[in-house]
Amino acid sequence: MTFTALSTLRVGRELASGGQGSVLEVEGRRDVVFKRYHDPQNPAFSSDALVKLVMERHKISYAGQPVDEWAAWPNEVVVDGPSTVGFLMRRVPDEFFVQISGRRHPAELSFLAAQSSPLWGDLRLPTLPERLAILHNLAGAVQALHQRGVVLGDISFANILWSARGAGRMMLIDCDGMCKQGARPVLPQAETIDWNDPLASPGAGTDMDRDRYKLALAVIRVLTKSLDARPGADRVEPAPTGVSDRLASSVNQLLGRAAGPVGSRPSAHEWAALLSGRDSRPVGSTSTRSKGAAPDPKPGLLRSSQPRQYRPVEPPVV
Amino acid sequence: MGQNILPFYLVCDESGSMDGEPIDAINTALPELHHEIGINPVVADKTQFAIIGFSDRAEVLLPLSNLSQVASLPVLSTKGSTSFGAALRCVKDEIEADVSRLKSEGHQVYRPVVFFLTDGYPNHGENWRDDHQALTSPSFPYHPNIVAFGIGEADPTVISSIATFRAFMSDNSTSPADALNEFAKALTKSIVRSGSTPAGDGGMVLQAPDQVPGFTSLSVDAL
Repeated sequence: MTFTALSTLRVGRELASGGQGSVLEVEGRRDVVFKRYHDPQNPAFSSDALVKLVMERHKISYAGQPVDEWAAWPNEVVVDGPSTVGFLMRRVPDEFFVQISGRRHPAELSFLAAQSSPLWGDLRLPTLPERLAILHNLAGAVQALHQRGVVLGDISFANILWSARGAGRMMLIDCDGMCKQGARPVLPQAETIDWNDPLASPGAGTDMDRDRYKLALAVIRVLTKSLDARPGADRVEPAPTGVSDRLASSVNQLLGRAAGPVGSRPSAHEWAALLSGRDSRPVGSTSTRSKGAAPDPKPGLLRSSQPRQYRPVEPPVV
Repeated sequence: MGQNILPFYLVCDESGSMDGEPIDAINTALPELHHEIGINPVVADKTQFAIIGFSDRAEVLLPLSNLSQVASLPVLSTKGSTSFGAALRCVKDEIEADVSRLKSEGHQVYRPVVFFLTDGYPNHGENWRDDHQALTSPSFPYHPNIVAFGIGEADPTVISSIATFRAFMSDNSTSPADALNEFAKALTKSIVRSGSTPAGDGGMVLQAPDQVPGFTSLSVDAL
């Protein structure tokens, strides 16, 4: 567990500022950035939750990749005397930014869920196979976190970045909003417009089932290029999307379940398996298997059905 | 299919006293705002933006638009005096027409937001408070949330009276150009946050910063 004293950091310029904190450069450490909370004295702020996230860091991996490779995970708690004031995390690599009109922007998932705008200029967007790979990696990452008992909470366009270099890589950001199942987050989490679970009661906290619903939202919105498509109301049609008939049918099947009640929604693992592009084949269930006849034993070998034999031994001399 | 839309109106003083650095700063900042909002697929989809300039009279410089569809922006230019009444009447007319049109097109429209910027006193003898009352009264069903900014010679008391949500007065800790740059950033940030953070009922509501660098936050007159 790593704690870093604020006094040992040379805090540089502000890179971004949000509702809960600012992200700042750390001079002399190009690989990390510092998220400093605006109000760590807020009674709702839980430094324990932050410590727990940092402690999880070495336990989480997806496809053999440590969490730092695909998420801006908190890796050092920054303290100022006895108070926790923020944390260090990996700096988001350049490949997760795009250039539009000469300016740098995070490559948010929303670019893949909207119709192209003339303002985007010659922005190269991922091809369909790359989009499927991004969604596959997203589902795999969600599955890896769920396996460790981590609830993501605010799965939404702004918190998922895609690699502008292709290859379907993605990165999760704002990870300090995540928390262990049943535990409180570092700060009460903001929701994102249009990413609500219609079956959740207002004000209900986050849980894995809600994550599963939001993962389905990400899938349908990227595949239909629609910012507000919903499972149950919308479908992935092969013709406009370019998705194969077979994949569209399987995706729609899972989307149908995603629109269903708590407990019936497809897991992140099911989405990852479907989006992997790997063939699968049906296998018989145990109840339909037939028992084959045992082969005849070869002559001279021990028949297992023979009674066990014993040999005499000398008792030990006392 | 109907969308959810939160309309923003920038009501900007173009009177003679804004000449030079202040109006240049606004003209420099507006393309930045257009870029930030216009390229953001979610925010451009959920918010629309209009610009009204006012001096002796008010003029709609950019009708309420989806910024991702806007190819050119008006250049603000200074002239004449400072008619708050004309500005307030104009924005009320625009809100009334825009909201009715959007609703008839099947969209869900959330309470409009007005960012009001001035550097001067209202014209002497002008009865602008009646126009303000007509705009902000609950009897006007689309009465907007107003965030007011005063720079230079503006009267903090008047700025407080115009605002219904937040009011800010430049504190002369920075140049007028820097203060107006911060104003534009606050406006951009408000649009982005309002277009991506749900209100309690899942809809959209104005999210404006509490503090703006170069400005002092004023209390807002209770209605």
